[in-house]
Amino acid sequence: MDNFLEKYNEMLLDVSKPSRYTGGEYNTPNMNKPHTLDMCICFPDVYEVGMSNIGVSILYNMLNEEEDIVCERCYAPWVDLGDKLKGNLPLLSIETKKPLKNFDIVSFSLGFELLYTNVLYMLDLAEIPFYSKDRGENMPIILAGGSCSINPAPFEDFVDIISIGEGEDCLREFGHLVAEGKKQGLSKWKILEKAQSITGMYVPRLHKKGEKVKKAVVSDINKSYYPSKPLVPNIEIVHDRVALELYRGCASGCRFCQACFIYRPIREKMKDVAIKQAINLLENTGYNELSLSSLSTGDYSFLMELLPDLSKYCKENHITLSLPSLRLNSYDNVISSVCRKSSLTFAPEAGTQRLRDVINKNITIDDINNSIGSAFEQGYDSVKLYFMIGLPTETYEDLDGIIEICNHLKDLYYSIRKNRKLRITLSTAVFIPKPYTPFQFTEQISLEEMRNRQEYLYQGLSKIKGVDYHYHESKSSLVEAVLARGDKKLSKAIELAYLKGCRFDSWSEHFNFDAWIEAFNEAGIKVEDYTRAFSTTEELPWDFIDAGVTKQYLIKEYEKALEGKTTKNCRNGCNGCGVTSLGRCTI
Amino acid sequence: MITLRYKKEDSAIFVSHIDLLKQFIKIINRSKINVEYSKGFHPHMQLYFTTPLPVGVSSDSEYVTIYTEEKTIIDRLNEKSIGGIVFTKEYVSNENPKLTKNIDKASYVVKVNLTDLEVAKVNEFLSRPSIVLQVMRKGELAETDVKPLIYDYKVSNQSFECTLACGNPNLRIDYLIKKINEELSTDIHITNSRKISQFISETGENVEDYLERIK
Repeated sequence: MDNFLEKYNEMLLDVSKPSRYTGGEYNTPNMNKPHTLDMCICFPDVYEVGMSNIGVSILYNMLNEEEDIVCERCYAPWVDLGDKLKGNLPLLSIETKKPLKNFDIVSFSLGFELLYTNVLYMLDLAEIPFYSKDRGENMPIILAGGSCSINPAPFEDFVDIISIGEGEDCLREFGHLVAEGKKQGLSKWKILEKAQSITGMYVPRLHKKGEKVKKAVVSDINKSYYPSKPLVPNIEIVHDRVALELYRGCASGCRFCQACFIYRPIREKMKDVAIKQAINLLENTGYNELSLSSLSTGDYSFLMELLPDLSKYCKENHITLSLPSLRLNSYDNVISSVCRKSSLTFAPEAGTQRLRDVINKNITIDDINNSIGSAFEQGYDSVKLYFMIGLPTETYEDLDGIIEICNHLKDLYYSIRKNRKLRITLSTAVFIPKPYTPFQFTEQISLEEMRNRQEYLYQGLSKIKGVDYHYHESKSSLVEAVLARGDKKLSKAIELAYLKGCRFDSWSEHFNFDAWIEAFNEAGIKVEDYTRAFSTTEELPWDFIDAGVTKQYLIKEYEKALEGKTTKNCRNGCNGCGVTSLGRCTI
Repeated sequence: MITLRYKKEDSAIFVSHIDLLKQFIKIINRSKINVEYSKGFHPHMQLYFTTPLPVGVSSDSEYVTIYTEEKTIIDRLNEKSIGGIVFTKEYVSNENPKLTKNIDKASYVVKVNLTDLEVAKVNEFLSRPSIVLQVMRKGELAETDVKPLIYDYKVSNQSFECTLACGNPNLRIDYLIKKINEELSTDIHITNSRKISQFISETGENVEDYLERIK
């Protein structure tokens, strides 16, 4: 055993950022308490990315506070360690360095489709067979959860059970069920059969065709579990600060946004609950930065009451407040006086009012100019803007709109800031029609057209002083679309892609498009079958999931989009999306 | 101000120096110890470390100086510390001991498993008039003769002890171990090395005695 750990430590010396794998973080829960269930939460990307994930933090801390359950973590080892481990040592958990295959439950948090090959990468290193059907009693229960579970078809053959929706109640119940089952000596599949009765749980191999699966929703967000002692990483991570979740769901109803629809109903924390949680987080971690997190922080009903109290505490304790995800029509002086940053980020998404109406991004050119003008007046010289290309009904006139916005902002800047230097960083992502959105029916533009539009924008923007244009890689957007909208046939392709060496697909230096195309071909997958438009009458692989919002509502929204009609923000009156069947919106 | 001695061991050996600095800020925040902040646009906590310990190496004698009026803070710090960082002593002084400038040597003990033949080879290697190491400096490979930076050494089957230059100039124990392994095909593990003490240049005294003296 000592030799085993010594071998591992020696490997760690030769890899980049060895602290990714050592554990020993402040606030590590007690791994030695008497317990029945050993669970390992895996995040299929590196430590720095996984440790920034609030969802994993909530579940990890919650499960460790349950009697009888100990929960550890494992992140995808970077390629340098992965290559050393293969064939030499099995993949180990961080806290006790236990091989993953020795756990009772191994769960994967899936928030991004390009992480699917990393799931296989971790299973491979853990010496666990890829397919559910190939795993016997001696192998752990493999569970998957996270936002990708809204369309589980592409990966469901690899896992035994899928948690759809919010994991707090669902996983707690499942954990106790497995612990009980273990004590009673029940077989794995007997336990999984029982697990189907837990709301939000989907067991692909036992599921009766035609039956709907309801997603799990936490009913009272003020009472549901939120960690007060989250782990403090030993190295710098992507979001190196403590995050307070303010509310779930989003009332804006932007038609491209999956998060908006799958995280409904909209439930806000009360101001007092939020402040108490924030102060606990800061005192128990020692962090100097707090981020107020949600899908649209500026829309939080109690923001203007929360900020004065919170910023007073922060000033007294040398703490910086950060408000990501600010919408362009909610940014104003009050917010900016509370949190100064080196640059601000806004996402107009589309260049013309016509297209913004189609996507239901309800901001006007005045909102853009006022917010950003206000930022310039506050002394900001640097602004980041996000847009998408390939949105439904988009034409080159809409791209001209993006260029026009930049031109106008440049003029606005120099009229306010005179001789200083402007930096506008403009990024475009390729639109991906995601399941469970009004745009799930629309197509993704071809690779060629993606490049044409990026080139067109590049030409137009390079003429504007101070604008730096970045565009997201189109080939990985294509693969992402196929995986997001895929059916069961995709699992073979994912396996083939992994066997051809694909891993860390979300990292541009590792993404291997040619290997993916080969994998698609060998698996008999035609890419166009998944990037095409879907008709509103055909059955989609995720239709069997009831996430509250009805398909009729999504179709109605899609038809309104094509007519250029907008839908008001839910805060201004309920639009009847259907999610009240699963829970109340508190707004 | 207070100079703290701390140990760096177990999982903390893999925390780089820059990350360690950030951890210290959090440890101090959690302990609610009042530390002075610098003035200016971005006030930061005033912490002064000494020569960085290479990743993988443990140590019994690392030092950090902080500007605070508080005393007897070790227990409070240890309660809020991370795995592998243990505070063992505190020295209060009126002036900054300027350890980085004043320290010029450090002694190490490395646990080894050497045959008699290997012990002889290591002794022979270290007794050579010159020992040239290739080190990356500013993106370029540079060659340095580190023999003058090895002050003394003792090799036996189970242990390799040495005193090396620390500060400016500096000889990293992991570089020396790597070179020995390369030249002699030995298998000495860097993770088995431990810094034991550090010494003041002017007087040759142990940092501990120096800190006692200027209290």
